[in-house]
Amino acid sequence: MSIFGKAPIQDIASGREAFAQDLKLALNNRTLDDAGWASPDDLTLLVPLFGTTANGRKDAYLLRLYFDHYPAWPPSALFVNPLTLEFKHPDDSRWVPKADGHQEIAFHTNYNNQGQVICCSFTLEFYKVNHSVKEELVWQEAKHKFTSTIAAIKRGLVAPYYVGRMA
Amino acid sequence: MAVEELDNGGTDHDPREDCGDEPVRKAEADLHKAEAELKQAEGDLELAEAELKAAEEHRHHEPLVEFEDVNSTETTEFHAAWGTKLTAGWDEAAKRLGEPRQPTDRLQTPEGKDLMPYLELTLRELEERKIITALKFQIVGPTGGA
Repeated sequence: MSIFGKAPIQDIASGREAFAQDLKLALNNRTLDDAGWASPDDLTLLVPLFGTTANGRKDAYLLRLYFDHYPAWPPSALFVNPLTLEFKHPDDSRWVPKADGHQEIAFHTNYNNQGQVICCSFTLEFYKVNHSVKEELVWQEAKHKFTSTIAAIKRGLVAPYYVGRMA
Repeated sequence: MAVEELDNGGTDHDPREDCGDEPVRKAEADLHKAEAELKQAEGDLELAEAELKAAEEHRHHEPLVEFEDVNSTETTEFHAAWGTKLTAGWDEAAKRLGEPRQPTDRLQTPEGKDLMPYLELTLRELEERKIITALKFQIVGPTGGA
Protein backbone atom coordinates (compact mmCIF):
# COMPACT_ATOMS: atom_id res chain seq x y z
CA MET A 1 0.00 0.00 0.00
CA SER A 2 1.50 3.31 -1.08
CA ILE A 3 1.70 6.20 1.37
CA PHE A 4 1.79 8.66 -1.54
CA GLY A 5 -0.37 11.68 -0.78
CA LYS A 6 -1.34 10.46 2.69
CA ALA A 7 -0.71 11.93 6.12
CA PRO A 8 1.58 10.03 8.52
CA ILE A 9 -0.19 7.86 11.10
CA GLN A 10 1.49 6.93 14.37
CA ASP A 11 1.57 3.23 15.30
CA ILE A 12 3.81 2.68 18.30
CA ALA A 13 3.19 -1.05 18.68
CA SER A 14 4.03 -1.78 15.05
CA GLY A 15 6.99 0.57 15.26
CA ARG A 16 8.42 -1.18 18.29
CA GLU A 17 8.06 -4.60 16.70
CA ALA A 18 9.41 -3.62 13.28
CA PHE A 19 12.32 -1.69 14.79
CA ALA A 20 13.35 -4.71 16.89
CA GLN A 21 13.11 -6.98 13.86
CA ASP A 22 14.97 -4.71 11.44
CA LEU A 23 17.61 -3.82 14.02
CA LYS A 24 18.37 -7.50 14.43
CA LEU A 25 18.71 -7.85 10.65
CA ALA A 26 20.91 -4.78 10.37
CA LEU A 27 23.19 -5.86 13.19
CA ASN A 28 23.64 -9.30 11.62
CA ASN A 29 24.98 -10.97 14.78
CA ARG A 30 26.86 -7.85 15.88
CA THR A 31 25.99 -5.97 19.04
CA LEU A 32 24.92 -2.33 19.18
CA ASP A 33 28.38 -1.56 20.53
CA ASP A 34 29.98 -3.35 17.60
CA ALA A 35 28.00 -1.14 15.22
CA GLY A 36 28.74 1.99 17.26
CA TRP A 37 25.02 2.63 17.77
CA ALA A 38 22.92 3.05 20.91
CA SER A 39 19.27 2.37 21.62
CA PRO A 40 18.20 4.18 24.80
CA ASP A 41 14.65 2.82 24.48
CA ASP A 42 12.73 0.43 22.25
CA LEU A 43 11.75 3.12 19.75
CA THR A 44 14.99 5.09 19.46
CA LEU A 45 18.29 4.51 17.69
CA LEU A 46 21.26 6.86 18.02
CA VAL A 47 23.70 6.78 15.12
CA PRO A 48 26.99 8.72 15.21
CA LEU A 49 27.92 10.07 11.78
CA PHE A 50 30.79 12.11 10.37
CA GLY A 51 30.64 14.89 7.83
CA THR A 52 33.75 15.06 5.67
CA THR A 53 34.73 18.29 3.92
CA ALA A 54 36.62 18.58 0.66
CA ASN A 55 39.86 19.20 2.58
CA GLY A 56 39.32 16.05 4.65
CA ARG A 57 38.15 17.63 7.91
CA LYS A 58 35.70 15.44 9.80
CA ASP A 59 32.90 16.81 11.98
CA ALA A 60 30.94 14.58 14.34
CA TYR A 61 27.14 14.45 14.39
CA LEU A 62 24.55 12.38 16.17
CA LEU A 63 21.50 11.20 14.24
CA ARG A 64 18.45 10.23 16.29
CA LEU A 65 16.00 7.87 14.59
CA TYR A 66 12.57 7.37 16.13
CA PHE A 67 10.24 4.60 15.05
CA ASP A 68 6.73 5.54 16.20
CA HIS A 69 5.34 5.56 12.62
CA TYR A 70 7.54 2.74 11.32
CA PRO A 71 7.47 0.66 9.14
CA ALA A 72 4.53 2.06 7.15
CA TRP A 73 6.37 5.38 7.29
CA PRO A 74 10.11 6.02 7.47
CA PRO A 75 11.70 6.70 10.84
CA SER A 76 11.83 10.21 12.21
CA ALA A 77 15.38 11.43 11.61
CA LEU A 78 16.88 14.42 13.39
CA PHE A 79 20.39 15.58 14.13
CA VAL A 80 20.55 16.19 17.89
CA ASN A 81 22.81 17.79 20.46
CA PRO A 82 24.91 14.84 21.70
CA LEU A 83 24.74 16.15 25.27
CA THR A 84 20.96 16.50 25.50
CA LEU A 85 19.93 14.05 22.73
CA GLU A 86 17.43 16.76 21.71
CA PHE A 87 17.34 19.49 19.09
CA LYS A 88 16.31 23.02 20.03
CA HIS A 89 16.30 25.71 17.40
CA PRO A 90 18.39 27.86 17.18
CA ASP A 91 20.65 26.81 20.10
CA ASP A 92 21.51 23.41 18.66
CA SER A 93 22.00 24.48 15.04
CA ARG A 94 25.71 23.71 15.24
CA TRP A 95 24.83 20.03 15.62
CA VAL A 96 23.20 20.02 12.18
CA PRO A 97 25.34 19.58 9.08
CA LYS A 98 25.29 22.00 6.17
CA ALA A 99 25.24 20.49 2.69
CA ASP A 100 24.83 22.38 -0.57
CA GLY A 101 23.79 21.30 -4.00
CA HIS A 102 22.72 17.68 -3.60
CA GLN A 103 19.67 16.87 -5.72
CA GLU A 104 18.21 14.35 -3.30
CA ILE A 105 18.93 15.60 0.19
CA ALA A 106 19.12 18.81 2.17
CA PHE A 107 19.34 19.67 5.86
CA HIS A 108 17.22 22.42 7.42
CA THR A 109 17.28 23.60 11.03
CA ASN A 110 13.86 25.24 10.78
CA TYR A 111 12.03 24.36 7.58
CA ASN A 112 9.17 26.82 7.02
CA ASN A 113 9.11 27.41 10.79
CA GLN A 114 8.21 23.74 11.33
CA GLY A 115 11.45 22.71 12.99
CA GLN A 116 14.36 20.63 11.76
CA VAL A 117 13.75 18.67 8.57
CA ILE A 118 16.08 16.38 6.72
CA CYS A 119 14.63 16.80 3.27
CA CYS A 120 14.70 13.24 2.01
CA SER A 121 11.80 10.93 1.21
CA PHE A 122 13.23 8.38 3.65
CA THR A 123 12.54 10.52 6.75
CA LEU A 124 9.22 10.98 8.53
CA GLU A 125 9.57 14.76 8.77
CA PHE A 126 9.63 14.98 4.97
CA TYR A 127 6.01 13.79 4.94
CA LYS A 128 4.99 15.75 8.04
CA VAL A 129 5.81 19.01 6.25
CA ASN A 130 4.06 17.69 3.15
CA HIS A 131 7.12 18.03 0.92
CA SER A 132 6.49 17.36 -2.76
CA VAL A 133 7.90 14.12 -4.16
CA LYS A 134 7.49 11.85 -7.16
CA GLU A 135 5.36 8.81 -6.40
CA GLU A 136 8.12 6.35 -7.39
CA LEU A 137 10.42 7.88 -4.80
CA VAL A 138 8.19 7.58 -1.74
CA TRP A 139 9.04 5.27 1.13
CA GLN A 140 7.82 1.71 0.59
CA GLU A 141 7.28 -0.41 3.68
CA ALA A 142 7.84 -3.65 1.77
CA LYS A 143 11.12 -2.48 0.27
CA HIS A 144 12.86 -0.02 2.58
CA LYS A 145 14.33 -0.23 6.05
CA PHE A 146 15.91 2.30 8.40
CA THR A 147 19.29 1.35 6.96
CA SER A 148 18.05 2.93 3.71
CA THR A 149 17.44 6.16 5.66
CA ILE A 150 20.94 6.19 7.13
CA ALA A 151 22.54 5.49 3.73
CA ALA A 152 20.51 8.29 2.11
CA ILE A 153 21.46 10.83 4.78
CA LYS A 154 25.14 9.96 4.44
CA ARG A 155 25.04 11.18 0.83
CA GLY A 156 24.87 14.73 2.15
CA LEU A 157 27.80 14.21 4.49
CA VAL A 158 30.56 13.86 1.92
CA ALA A 159 32.39 16.27 -0.37
CA PRO A 160 31.58 18.19 -2.43
CA TYR A 161 28.19 18.62 -0.71
CA TYR A 162 29.14 18.74 2.95
CA VAL A 163 30.68 22.10 3.83
CA GLY A 164 30.62 22.23 7.64
CA ARG A 165 28.29 22.93 10.54
CA MET A 166 25.06 24.83 10.08
CA ALA A 167 26.10 27.43 12.65
CA MET B 1 60.73 -93.05 -22.00
CA ALA B 2 57.40 -94.57 -21.28
CA VAL B 3 57.15 -92.44 -18.15
CA GLU B 4 57.77 -89.18 -20.07
CA GLU B 5 55.07 -90.08 -22.53
CA LEU B 6 52.70 -90.57 -19.67
CA ASP B 7 53.60 -87.20 -18.10
CA ASN B 8 52.75 -85.10 -21.15
CA GLY B 9 50.13 -87.33 -22.57
CA GLY B 10 52.47 -88.38 -25.31
CA THR B 11 52.18 -85.03 -27.18
CA ASP B 12 53.68 -81.43 -27.15
CA HIS B 13 50.31 -79.99 -26.17
CA ASP B 14 50.40 -77.74 -23.07
CA PRO B 15 48.02 -79.30 -20.60
CA ARG B 16 47.14 -75.88 -19.08
CA GLU B 17 45.32 -74.99 -22.28
CA ASP B 18 42.95 -77.81 -21.58
CA CYS B 19 42.04 -76.07 -18.28
CA GLY B 20 41.04 -72.74 -19.98
CA ASP B 21 44.35 -70.93 -19.27
CA GLU B 22 43.97 -68.44 -22.14
CA PRO B 23 41.06 -66.56 -20.49
CA VAL B 24 43.10 -66.38 -17.28
CA ARG B 25 46.04 -64.81 -19.08
CA LYS B 26 43.72 -62.37 -20.77
CA ALA B 27 42.16 -61.50 -17.44
CA GLU B 28 45.62 -60.96 -15.95
CA ALA B 29 46.53 -58.68 -18.82
CA ASP B 30 43.30 -56.74 -18.37
CA LEU B 31 44.00 -56.42 -14.67
CA HIS B 32 47.50 -55.05 -15.30
CA LYS B 33 46.06 -52.61 -17.80
CA ALA B 34 43.35 -51.52 -15.38
CA GLU B 35 45.93 -51.10 -12.60
CA ALA B 36 48.05 -48.95 -14.89
CA GLU B 37 45.04 -46.85 -15.80
CA LEU B 38 44.10 -46.50 -12.13
CA LYS B 39 47.63 -45.37 -11.31
CA GLN B 40 47.45 -42.84 -14.14
CA ALA B 41 44.06 -41.62 -12.92
CA GLU B 42 45.37 -41.28 -9.36
CA GLY B 43 48.25 -39.24 -10.71
CA ASP B 44 45.86 -37.03 -12.67
CA LEU B 45 43.69 -36.59 -9.58
CA GLU B 46 46.68 -35.58 -7.45
CA LEU B 47 47.69 -33.09 -10.13
CA ALA B 48 44.17 -31.65 -10.30
CA GLU B 49 43.99 -31.37 -6.52
CA ALA B 50 47.32 -29.58 -6.45
CA GLU B 51 46.13 -27.17 -9.17
CA LEU B 52 42.88 -26.57 -7.28
CA LYS B 53 44.76 -25.90 -4.05
CA ALA B 54 47.09 -23.50 -5.84
CA ALA B 55 44.11 -21.72 -7.38
CA GLU B 56 42.42 -21.42 -3.99
CA GLU B 57 45.60 -20.08 -2.42
CA HIS B 58 45.90 -17.57 -5.24
CA ARG B 59 42.25 -16.63 -4.76
CA HIS B 60 42.84 -15.95 -1.08
CA HIS B 61 45.51 -13.46 -2.02
CA GLU B 62 42.87 -11.53 -3.95
CA PRO B 63 41.14 -8.83 -1.91
CA LEU B 64 37.89 -9.49 -0.11
CA VAL B 65 35.11 -7.16 -1.25
CA GLU B 66 31.86 -6.50 0.54
CA PHE B 67 28.58 -5.34 -0.97
CA GLU B 68 25.61 -4.42 1.20
CA ASP B 69 22.07 -3.98 -0.11
CA VAL B 70 20.86 -1.34 2.34
CA ASN B 71 17.20 -1.97 1.55
CA SER B 72 17.31 -5.66 2.37
CA THR B 73 20.24 -5.31 4.83
CA GLU B 74 21.76 -8.34 3.11
CA THR B 75 25.53 -8.39 2.69
CA THR B 76 27.76 -10.53 0.50
CA GLU B 77 31.53 -10.94 0.62
CA PHE B 78 33.77 -12.54 -1.98
CA HIS B 79 37.31 -12.45 -3.30
CA ALA B 80 37.83 -10.46 -6.49
CA ALA B 81 40.96 -9.70 -8.48
CA TRP B 82 42.37 -6.19 -8.19
CA GLY B 83 41.76 -5.86 -11.93
CA THR B 84 38.02 -6.39 -11.51
CA LYS B 85 35.95 -3.45 -12.71
CA LEU B 86 33.57 -2.06 -10.12
CA THR B 87 30.59 -2.72 -12.38
CA ALA B 88 31.61 -6.39 -12.71
CA GLY B 89 31.95 -6.67 -8.94
CA TRP B 90 28.48 -5.18 -8.58
CA ASP B 91 27.12 -7.73 -11.10
CA GLU B 92 28.65 -10.57 -9.09
CA ALA B 93 27.26 -9.15 -5.84
CA ALA B 94 23.78 -8.79 -7.35
CA LYS B 95 23.93 -12.41 -8.44
CA ARG B 96 25.01 -13.58 -4.99
CA LEU B 97 22.39 -11.41 -3.27
CA GLY B 98 19.68 -12.65 -5.61
CA GLU B 99 18.66 -9.06 -6.29
CA PRO B 100 19.01 -8.10 -9.98
CA ARG B 101 20.45 -4.63 -10.63
CA GLN B 102 17.75 -2.06 -11.24
CA PRO B 103 18.30 0.93 -13.56
CA THR B 104 17.69 3.29 -10.65
CA ASP B 105 20.06 1.53 -8.24
CA ARG B 106 23.25 3.30 -7.21
CA LEU B 107 26.50 2.29 -5.65
CA GLN B 108 28.08 4.33 -2.86
CA THR B 109 30.72 3.95 -0.19
CA PRO B 110 29.58 3.34 3.41
CA GLU B 111 30.47 7.02 4.01
CA GLY B 112 27.97 8.08 1.34
CA LYS B 113 30.25 8.90 -1.61
CA ASP B 114 28.57 8.32 -4.97
CA LEU B 115 30.48 5.73 -7.01
CA MET B 116 28.36 5.80 -10.16
CA PRO B 117 30.94 7.88 -12.09
CA TYR B 118 33.58 5.25 -11.37
CA LEU B 119 31.90 1.98 -12.37
CA GLU B 120 34.41 1.31 -15.16
CA LEU B 121 37.43 1.66 -12.88
CA THR B 122 39.11 -1.39 -11.42
CA LEU B 123 39.37 -2.02 -7.71
CA ARG B 124 43.04 -1.12 -7.89
CA GLU B 125 42.34 2.15 -9.68
CA LEU B 126 39.67 3.05 -7.14
CA GLU B 127 42.10 2.42 -4.31
CA GLU B 128 45.11 4.08 -5.95
CA ARG B 129 43.14 7.20 -6.85
CA LYS B 130 41.89 7.34 -3.24
CA ILE B 131 38.28 7.27 -4.41
CA ILE B 132 37.65 4.57 -1.81
CA THR B 133 39.37 3.82 1.48
CA ALA B 134 37.94 0.31 1.89
CA LEU B 135 36.57 -2.35 -0.41
CA LYS B 136 33.09 -1.97 1.01
CA PHE B 137 30.18 -0.84 -1.12
CA GLN B 138 26.50 -0.08 -0.56
CA ILE B 139 23.76 -0.67 -3.09
CA VAL B 140 21.13 2.02 -2.64
CA GLY B 141 18.04 3.26 -4.42
CA PRO B 142 17.04 6.82 -5.35
CA THR B 143 15.24 9.18 -2.96
CA GLY B 144 13.34 12.42 -3.34
CA GLY B 145 14.18 15.57 -1.46
CA ALA B 146 16.27 18.73 -1.40
